[in-house]
Amino acid sequence: MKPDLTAGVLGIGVSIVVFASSFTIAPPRYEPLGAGAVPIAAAVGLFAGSLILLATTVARHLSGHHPVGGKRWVLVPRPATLALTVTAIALYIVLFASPIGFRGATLLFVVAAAVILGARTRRDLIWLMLVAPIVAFGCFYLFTRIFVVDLL
Amino acid sequence: MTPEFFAALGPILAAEPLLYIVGGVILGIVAGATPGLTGAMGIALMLPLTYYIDSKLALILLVSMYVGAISGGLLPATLLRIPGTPASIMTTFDGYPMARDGRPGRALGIGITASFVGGVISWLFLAGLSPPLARFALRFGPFEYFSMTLMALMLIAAVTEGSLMRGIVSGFLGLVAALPGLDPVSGEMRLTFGFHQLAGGFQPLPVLIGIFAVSQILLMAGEGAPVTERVTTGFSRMFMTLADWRRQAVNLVRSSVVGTWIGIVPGIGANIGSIVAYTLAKSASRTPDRFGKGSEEGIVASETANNATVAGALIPLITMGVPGSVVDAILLGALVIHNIQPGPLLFRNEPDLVYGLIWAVLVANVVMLALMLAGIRIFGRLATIPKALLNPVLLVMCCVGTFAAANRHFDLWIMLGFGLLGYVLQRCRVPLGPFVIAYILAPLLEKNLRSGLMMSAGSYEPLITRPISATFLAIALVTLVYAVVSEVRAARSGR
Repeated sequence: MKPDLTAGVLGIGVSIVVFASSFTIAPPRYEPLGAGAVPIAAAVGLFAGSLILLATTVARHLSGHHPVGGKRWVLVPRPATLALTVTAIALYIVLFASPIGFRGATLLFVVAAAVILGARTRRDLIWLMLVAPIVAFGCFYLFTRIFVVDLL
Repeated sequence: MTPEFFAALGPILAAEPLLYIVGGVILGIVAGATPGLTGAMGIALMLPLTYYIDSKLALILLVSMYVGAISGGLLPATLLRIPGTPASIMTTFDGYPMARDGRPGRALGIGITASFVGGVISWLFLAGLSPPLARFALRFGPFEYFSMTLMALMLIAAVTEGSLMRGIVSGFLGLVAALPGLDPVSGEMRLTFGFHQLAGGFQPLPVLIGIFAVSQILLMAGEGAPVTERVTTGFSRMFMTLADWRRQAVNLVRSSVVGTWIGIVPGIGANIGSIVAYTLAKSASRTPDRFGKGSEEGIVASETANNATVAGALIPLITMGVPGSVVDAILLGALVIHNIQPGPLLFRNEPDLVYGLIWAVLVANVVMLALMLAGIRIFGRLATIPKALLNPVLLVMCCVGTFAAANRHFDLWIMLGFGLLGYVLQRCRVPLGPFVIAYILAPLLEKNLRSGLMMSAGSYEPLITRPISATFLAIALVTLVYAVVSEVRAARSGR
């Protein structure tokens, strides 16, 4: 999908959800506008803006003029790396609150994410073996002992 | 200048604030000098840590980081041809060719000195203009604030990179992101979609860290790091001679003034300031053909202007509560987090804080000059840290910082969600600036409009009958018309 097309579709989707949800907000009692007015106005503005973006993209396409967005936006050079990175972050968030705890989760995450992102030479792996425990235990010490935050 | 202004200098030079300034400048230079890390990302990452320190020191730290980050961007721009921050793009055109010619020290020395001069000249504007502007802003009522915020949003959408419509879509998405939770006026719950955790809305910290830090790391993961050739030799002739000063004097002053004024205009920021100053320097130069091939004038213009935007952009932030740039939007978030209401009353209620902050900008520039000149070789090495090792550490900092702020696991999912949104928006070439500034300003916009309407019994008339409000609305309208006409012309000419 082309960039403007994607942005337009995203904008229209969000505006429809917000517009529909705005009608569940209680009407104003003591003031002229009420809590629902701005969400409705924002949804209408977003819808109009996104529609114009879509229309101009389609018009350019129909006229055979492709000044921007020639390459497909979904085709990033390393889609697998991107997907694995997002999965690793999501798993880290899950493990963050699991019995493994912050230190274990962080240790696993730093190693996994570094390997996913390309740390595969012997030099990188040696550095990783040093960096991962320092980050896991260093952050734990900093936040729990100095900032007094419960890191689970 | 009031006695309070000069009285605020002493406390800033005490050991503790000075330590925060030095620390902030170092962290900023690290963020700016590390490709992929930006000032906005560094400051967003630092926000959670500021919860645990005094508000004034926290703001001093963040402002010093801002100064350091903009200056630090010069290093990878010159040594690797990668702009460390978007504001250093123009520096790559002349800094890298000079470095390739065996003069990296000369290019960096000129850039650092120019950054300092830009910072100091714009600081004079900050110190001189802020108090009278704040006094003027005391005349503002809800309608004026609403119109001014609307004008700021219009300017941001119209002048940010990319098309006007992308800017508008980005701004409305930011507005929508600010709406869920308890309505600030009536106390009604809205747009929470059944999640009780959204009662307080999307908190600034997960949103800012997600949009600026996580999305940037995802972009690097998907696109890979650019292949670069690092220049390492020839760190000599770093200091400008008297002849250099004479040759560059006009360029330095012109670029400082341009940078400051572009910084003052809401939402435009350092990259545009640097582009405009570079273009002006090229058109005024006796050797315009040297630009892009290693021109010292080009480096001076770019670096002077991008540093000048820092103090320039702080002027509307501290006097009216309107951010002059994306980083200022994060600083506005920091003020809100620390329960400080920016705006004209800040000068009356907390002169110690506001004048201290103004002095901190000047001291941070002096510290930046000393640290950059002394540590150029060390900071230069930051550009080569492997991203595969750096990014996982940054992601841990994002998560732990987001979690620690409110001890809420749910905030981590919000951070990831906004990280993905920021990634998609950037892939779609939708600028993030309007999104963040609209997200930060939306509560102000809504609260002022609704308060104003309650005062006028529902009449919108004061928006156009009150002169200041009408002026702001007129500027917003002219900006919109100008942007639309420019875009239609560009489309017709096939650009």
